[in-house]
Amino acid sequence: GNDADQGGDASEVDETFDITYTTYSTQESDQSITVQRWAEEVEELTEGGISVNFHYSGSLVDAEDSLQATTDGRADLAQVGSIYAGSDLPMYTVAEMPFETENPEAQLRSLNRLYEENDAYRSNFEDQGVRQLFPLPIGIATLGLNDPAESLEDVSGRSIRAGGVVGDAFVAAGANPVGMVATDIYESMSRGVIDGYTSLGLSNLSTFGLADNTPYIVEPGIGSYASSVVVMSEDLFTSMPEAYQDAVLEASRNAVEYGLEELDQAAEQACEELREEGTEFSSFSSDEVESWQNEAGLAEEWVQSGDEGAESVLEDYRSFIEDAAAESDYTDPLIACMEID
Amino acid sequence: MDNETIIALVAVMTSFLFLLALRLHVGLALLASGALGITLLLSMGGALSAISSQPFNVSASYTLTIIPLFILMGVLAVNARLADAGFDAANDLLRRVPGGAALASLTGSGFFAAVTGSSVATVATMARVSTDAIVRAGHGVRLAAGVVCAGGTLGVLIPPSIVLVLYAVVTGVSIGPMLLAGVGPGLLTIAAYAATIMILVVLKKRRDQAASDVSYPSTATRESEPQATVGVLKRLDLMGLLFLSVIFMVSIGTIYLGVATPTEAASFGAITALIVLLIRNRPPSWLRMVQRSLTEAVGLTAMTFLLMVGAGVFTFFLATSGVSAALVNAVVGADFPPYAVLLLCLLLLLPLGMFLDGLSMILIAGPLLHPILTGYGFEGIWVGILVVKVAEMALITPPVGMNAFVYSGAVPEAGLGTIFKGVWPFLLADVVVVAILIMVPEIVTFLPETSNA
Amino acid sequence: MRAELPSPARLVASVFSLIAGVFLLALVILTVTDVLSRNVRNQSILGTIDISTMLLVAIAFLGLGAAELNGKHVAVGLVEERLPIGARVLSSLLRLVLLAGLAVLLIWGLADSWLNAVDRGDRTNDILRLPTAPWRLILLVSFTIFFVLAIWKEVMVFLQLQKSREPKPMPTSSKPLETDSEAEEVPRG
Ligand code: NA
Ligand code: NA
Repeated sequence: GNDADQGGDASEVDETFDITYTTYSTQESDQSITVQRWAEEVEELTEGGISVNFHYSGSLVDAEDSLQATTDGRADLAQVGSIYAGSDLPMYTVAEMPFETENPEAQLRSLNRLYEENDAYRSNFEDQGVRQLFPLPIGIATLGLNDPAESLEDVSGRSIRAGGVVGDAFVAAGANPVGMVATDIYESMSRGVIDGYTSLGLSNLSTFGLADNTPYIVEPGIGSYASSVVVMSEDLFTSMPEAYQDAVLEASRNAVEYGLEELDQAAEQACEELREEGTEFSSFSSDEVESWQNEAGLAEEWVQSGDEGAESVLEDYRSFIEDAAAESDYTDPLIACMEID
Repeated sequence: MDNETIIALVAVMTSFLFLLALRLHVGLALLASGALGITLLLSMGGALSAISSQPFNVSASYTLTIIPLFILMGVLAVNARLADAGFDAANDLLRRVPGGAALASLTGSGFFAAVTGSSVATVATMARVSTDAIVRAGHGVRLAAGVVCAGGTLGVLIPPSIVLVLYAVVTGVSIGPMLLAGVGPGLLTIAAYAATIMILVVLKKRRDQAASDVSYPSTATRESEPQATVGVLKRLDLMGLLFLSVIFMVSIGTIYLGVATPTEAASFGAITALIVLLIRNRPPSWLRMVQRSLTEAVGLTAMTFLLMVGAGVFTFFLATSGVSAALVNAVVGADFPPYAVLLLCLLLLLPLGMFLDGLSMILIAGPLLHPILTGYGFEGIWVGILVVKVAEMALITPPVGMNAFVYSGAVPEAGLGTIFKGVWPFLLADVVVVAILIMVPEIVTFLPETSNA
Repeated sequence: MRAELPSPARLVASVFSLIAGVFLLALVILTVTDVLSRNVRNQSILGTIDISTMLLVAIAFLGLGAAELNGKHVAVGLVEERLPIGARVLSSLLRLVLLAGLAVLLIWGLADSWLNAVDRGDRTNDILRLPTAPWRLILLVSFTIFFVLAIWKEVMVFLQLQKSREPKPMPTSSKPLETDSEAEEVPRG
């Protein structure tokens, strides 16, 4: 920053930081656009003191490797998906828990609060040498099908592409979960290799070509099923002058807002495409979803397989969600899309 | 680009060429020069992390299981004497056509393309068997190398194709139309290659010289067979032909009937070939035959993956340096007319093929070139096909390219010099194909548009 | 040169490539069974992707050593083979140094990432969450044997070049376009 007359702390700093961001998301995804907006704000606040180089689609580092890369100097900033975090950030995988909330904003706000207030959660990040800056939304889980399903029972026996903890939920529902990379779903749906897919949000459907070949979409009641966080190397963060640190933190506080706006935008496009194709929407009854949740018992399993802190993390996560949901009037784009008509 | 980047770039290129000249393994040369570049740009620690994470990251990929599986299918088919059956039949069928064996090999690559989406897998599988057949029919290794290396690029254009899907995903083009768009250019490429083969063979016959081409080193060990062109009928191995078509039908059928994904279909191809191998050999030799096939397949796989590890380190260097973005920006900044920008952008892809495989190239170049070219008003799918087509050409462009490396690993007696001499006529054919695709975009857009209507 | 390598080294290399072969066969059978089971009784084998992915890690590199023994790895001989004998001795020496250097880097790095994975309890991301450490150990072992053989082979080349530097002509220069000296005997129907 050279414009000294602008005032403010950042302009008094001469140092510049050219930092590298690695993501598995594509350049045009809502998640990448969110981080672009964050980076613009940081650059503005620091008057050009911090600039970000973007590497999309895993072209720099694989999705599985991005946290490691942030700690060993190959990258400074990374998007870490909850599905890739099982080994390094186990407490953070609480974000994967199905059936917890249908409100993505509540989920994001409570992940931020967990980092602020829950020691077990935060120390996971500290142990890895990274700092959670902000979470990115995916939206609630979508179940895409080739044939209609009135109730959960109808899904039983069908081959459904699923991954992560959502896959476990579908095992409990008697479905046949098929592991499959997202780029294979399109061809597999067209040829009938699988009967349906989940572990995707509405905003992902256009990316993987699914908005125009999915005749039936169910809102299965799983809710916000996954997330990702943007993390920064702690060494880098502490090496920055205080004014820059403040700028990073300020932009990160706004990023939840950006994320939801971009999610809405991306999902709206998918919604329009689905509507044009005449896709039929439906959802499972809430009774059914409740007994599904009980039968699956995934939260109990998660607490048992984690270490001591896990119980407190889940407890806080749930109570933070409750608080946040009460204050939020955000509607998930899938629900909004179903309510058109 | 700052000075630091330019210095790193020069150091990396120089050291890579030096290490190649030194006859170090190509994979290790890529790895070492890439690591040097990372050290210069980032740090020693960054380079060490990039090196030591590559072997796991490259291989812990479900999509890439297709490579050893197709290699195994190919090796089993060779050891069950099915490939010979196929080539003999093709020779018989095409005995009045110049270059029958080479055309048969091209057809094999075409069929293979309909099953696999990987250039490297196609070359690794077809190399040995095609070369043997083509040389036995009286042509040089040079022609064989050209046909196989160029034929490998078909796998990516004709669906199913991981590369086309990946391009669509990273650039936001829709997947379905993108896959359909590859069919026309794929067929056009086959036609152009076939024409090239016939022209080469006729020209060679005219010149009627035998001395200058590299002769196959081990002809002495092979029984002298009547040449196809002489018109002597060889007793055809009809059972072999039948088995060969069963293998193709099983692997293609499982995909198109919706039984399996292309990745899974590779396993069906392999197990069918294994069963055929057992049927065509007596039980006492089963264990030996299976063991030999597995060992061969594993050796080819290791050779391929070592190349990919090196390419992976190099990819990281290239991405970190930001050199591709700088070059593209320079082209765009020069304010050329749209078609000149298109051509320059496509030309930029060619040197990338020295170091990268098709997938990495699309990851780096796709998101970079696509928005710029569509910004000039070119159609997305058409741009995508051109980029993918030229990226595949880069794999066979001298002085070095991934397909040529893999071929040379599978057929060690063919050096890179011979390979590139064999490849350039096919590259010329590719240039013609690209020119036609630019002048007649309907070849790309026809299928996706009719399927939309 | 193949015969000059000590038999224990050859044995280890071929046992490794046999293990890789068995894994490859297992991969084929696992996938086919999974697809058949899915289509016939609508039941997938849970974790096929996890298992297949880890199998590939082993399949991809366990054969490195055998490929080295059989001269399968790609190298460009165009320049080096046209050099005078003195320069070739020097280039062999350089290769030797480079191989040793790369061996140290890779073996150290792979050992580090193996220990790191043990330490972190690193697991795959799909449904089975398999530990990755054993497979990373396989990588370490594969690359170690590969470098041992490659260096050994280069030492032989160096010694042979040294010897032929005196009066006799090189026996290996008869095939000018070769990439590597010895091709494995490949069945030809
Ligand atoms: Na293909
Ligand atoms: Na090239």
